[in-house]
Amino acid sequence: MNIKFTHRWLKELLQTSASAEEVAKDLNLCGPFEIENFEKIKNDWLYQIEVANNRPDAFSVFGIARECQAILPNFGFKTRYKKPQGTDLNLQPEVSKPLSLKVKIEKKGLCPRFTAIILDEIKIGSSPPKIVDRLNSAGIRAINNVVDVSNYLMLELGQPMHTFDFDKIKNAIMILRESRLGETIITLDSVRRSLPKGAIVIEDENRLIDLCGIMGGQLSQVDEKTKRVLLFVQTYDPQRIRKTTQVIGYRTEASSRFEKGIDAEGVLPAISRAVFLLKKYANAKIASELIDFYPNQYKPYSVSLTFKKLRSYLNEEISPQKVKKIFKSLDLKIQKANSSQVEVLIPSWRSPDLEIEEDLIEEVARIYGYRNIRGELPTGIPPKAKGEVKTFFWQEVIKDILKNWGFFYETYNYSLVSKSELKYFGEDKKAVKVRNPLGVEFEYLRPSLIPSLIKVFRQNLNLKTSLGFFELANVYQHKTRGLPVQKTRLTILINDVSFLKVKGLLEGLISILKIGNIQYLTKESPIYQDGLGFEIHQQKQILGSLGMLKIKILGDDLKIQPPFIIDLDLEKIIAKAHLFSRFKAIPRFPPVIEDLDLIVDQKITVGSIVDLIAKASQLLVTKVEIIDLYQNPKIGRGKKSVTLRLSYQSKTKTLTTKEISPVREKIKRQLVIKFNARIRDQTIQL
Amino acid sequence: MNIDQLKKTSSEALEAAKTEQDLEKWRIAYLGKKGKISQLAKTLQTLPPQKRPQTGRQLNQLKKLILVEFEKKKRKLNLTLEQKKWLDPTLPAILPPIGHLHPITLTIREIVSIFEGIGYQRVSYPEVEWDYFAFEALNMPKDHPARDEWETFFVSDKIVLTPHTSSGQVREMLSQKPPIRMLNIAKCYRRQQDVSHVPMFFQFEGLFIDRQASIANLKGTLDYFTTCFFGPKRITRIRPYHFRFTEPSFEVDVSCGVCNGHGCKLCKAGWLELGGAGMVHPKVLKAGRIDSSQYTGFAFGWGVERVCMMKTNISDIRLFYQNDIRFLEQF
Repeated sequence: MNIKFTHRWLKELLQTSASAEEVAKDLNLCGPFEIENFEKIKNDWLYQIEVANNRPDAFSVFGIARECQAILPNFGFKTRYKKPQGTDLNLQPEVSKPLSLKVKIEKKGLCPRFTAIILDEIKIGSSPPKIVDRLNSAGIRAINNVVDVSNYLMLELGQPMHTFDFDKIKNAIMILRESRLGETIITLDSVRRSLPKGAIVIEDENRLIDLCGIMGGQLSQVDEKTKRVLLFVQTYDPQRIRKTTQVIGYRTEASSRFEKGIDAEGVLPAISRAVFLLKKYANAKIASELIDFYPNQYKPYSVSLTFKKLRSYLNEEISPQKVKKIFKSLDLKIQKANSSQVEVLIPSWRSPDLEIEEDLIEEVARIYGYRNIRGELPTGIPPKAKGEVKTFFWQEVIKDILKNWGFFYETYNYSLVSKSELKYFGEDKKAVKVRNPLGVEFEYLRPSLIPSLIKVFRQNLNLKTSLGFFELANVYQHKTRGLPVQKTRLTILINDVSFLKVKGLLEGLISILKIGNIQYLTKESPIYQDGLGFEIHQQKQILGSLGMLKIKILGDDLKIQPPFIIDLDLEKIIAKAHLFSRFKAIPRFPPVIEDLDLIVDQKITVGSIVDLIAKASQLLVTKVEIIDLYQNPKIGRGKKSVTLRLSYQSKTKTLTTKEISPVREKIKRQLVIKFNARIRDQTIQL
Repeated sequence: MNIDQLKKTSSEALEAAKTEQDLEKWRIAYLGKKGKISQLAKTLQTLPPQKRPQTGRQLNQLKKLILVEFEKKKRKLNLTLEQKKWLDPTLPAILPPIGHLHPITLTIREIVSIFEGIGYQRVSYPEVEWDYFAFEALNMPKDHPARDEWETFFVSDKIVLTPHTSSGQVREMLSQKPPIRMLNIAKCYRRQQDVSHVPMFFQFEGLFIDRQASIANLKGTLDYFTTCFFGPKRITRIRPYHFRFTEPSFEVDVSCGVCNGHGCKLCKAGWLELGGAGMVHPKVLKAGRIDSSQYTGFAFGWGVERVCMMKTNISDIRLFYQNDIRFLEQF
């Protein structure tokens, strides 16, 4: 919670030799009190402090003064906090005929402490400049002397309070109860608010007059004609206040305090000081008994700290005397102490935050000063190796390969995509839907990286015509039970290249990763153009797909050739990746290299010819290169000419023509039989 | 023309070449696609079959020989021409194609290498995670107000998009007994979007658990990281803060690189906020089935983009996810 107050105000509650600058610096270092802003205003200083949510006791000037008493002495400044004036008045009626209010609390837990008192002979007017200025600098508008006192004390003591015009409460009855769904109340800001079930409200006779802990109702508002005021100081069930503000989407300074928890023991001093100030500034006379409903009084409990544990946490020796001194400065009463431990009593305002030994360690350490603890790298044994190291290693290797080829930009895209982006990607059936998305743009977790890359491609086309992108990230798929399936993929998008170059990118990657040969299976696909989409197989596993995007998926507004996609299951790729392939001895005997020219039917794939040669040669042919490939009317319609370069090589000797020729003949025969090949000319030996 | 003749004429012509241009003309005439050697090779087919292999071999030998002479001549010419050369070094270079890794990748790599040096191992855990690991196991029971600070995306009542990398803490503890030195770098998701917030971002989280892990050890680790990542002049400090899953909890600041901690326009009185840290809460250790009377630990979790921004002057976090090539090209 963010609080704002001036140095002079603080000084009213604090005796210290420290300057405002020093206070700001030291609070920032020694408490969860981040100085958001610190500036000079007129002849004063304004602090703006973000106080951590576990410290509602410090959401006020008084709370900060209390902390200063613990923090500042360690920087050499004598410091003591003071209670403000009027916190322990004897609240007895001052009128001859005391008034009364009938109060009914329908459910115990709603309001742990309920106090109220009626004040008469009020003179409404404006507040003195000091109060107006202090409210203004905290961002609160001054209204009148009565309302201003309640806001002033919220800032000073951290206790929100409310004032009703007593005469506007029908029949002087108050029923504090849970709201019913759909009930409405017009709050002080003139807004009609529809309530959920379970908000805390006050009803007089059939009318809601207060939305407790959040904002008062207009019906019972204090105005310039008000004569009698019901001063109202409570603590409420923090959970309910929080839930209500969430449902109605509205927070106030008061509700932010109530939902973090208010010290019930602070209620009485607060109502007393409010009466004190209303007497002073608004001529108030106490006109009723104090109503104080407080069934479960706070019982202080104790927490112990062992010096040994403290030492192990800090790696630093702090004497028991010093520890005790710190506790005393924090108003933690020492219950018991010996040479090994100390037990302290937790005051109401620090409950329930101080609960266990570690909480006390924090108190000692922060006041002692984290700056005084010397940093030291841990020693000890490093943990056991984890298998995942391999995954990260290969991910980075793969990124480097792609980057170093020079064709690609690596991208990072949101995992969250819109429904329309998923139109061709399994849509919402498989995709994981977010229940509370940040707009339709971010409704689904993507089941594929392709839509994101298309988006990036389209966005950059006006800057460059040849583009390549990749992303390595998780994709998600809905599962009926348990967590969604979360798998890592590597997806590449590249345009302005030939199919063979795209294939080369994939096979280049596969070969650097020492993954064996892959096969391409033509597959009909919803995203790739017919005949231009392939599944990538290796040893009966599908590693991914490759193909040219359909025009409608890219968007037919662009009059360009769609890009190619390579979409890989990265986990499978990494599982197959190796740094080293099995070492093969460098051949000691030279190969015999021959070219083979043949003419075959156009539909016969080069791959099948190469496979046949390998088989027929029984390992004597160690390499087949394709050195020429063309079609030409001269060689016949529907035919193609292929020139292959064969290397015959043996591990044990230099091959002779005699040894090669039967193999060569066998290859030729097979080519003729299987593919009806016409072998051109005579083989040329190089 | 036969092979011997060719050998002679080529040698003579090569000898006669005086300039680089002469040499190039010679190369085309003899070694080019339609050069004399190729022409001669074509005539092989006209020979009777039994003669072909031998002639072929001779031709090959000749080709090799000519190549050697050519290289020799080239070297010689270069030597004589060397003094006369002049180049304009300011002409634009012909660059090889250059690819780009995203700054998030580069930052993660640097972080990983720093922590690997002190024994941390990178891990990853589900990004779409049980609410239990994201909150309950971290001492934030259902309906706890502390949960509000993480503006969480929900897939169902029990499944969330991890709002922080701390979701990995208890998973790590359950997967392995201490000593633990975990580095969890992952995507996090929060319902927020402006100049300094995006709905998805990366965090890196360190978790250290061992006997007698101390605040001093945490401070030592923070200093180690800062020195490696930001440079030897930069220092860290810790200030009290509050998280439900650490006790004590800290906010970590690093001294400003511009003013070295003296205070300037870019920083808050000399310091820049790095992120949160703390000593692991005993209840979190308990959820991870670790005996808190035997072991203590510390954890820290910061934004990857944030530390990258602190280093690079990138001022708008949304740039990381727009993937404009003019941005990507700078890395």
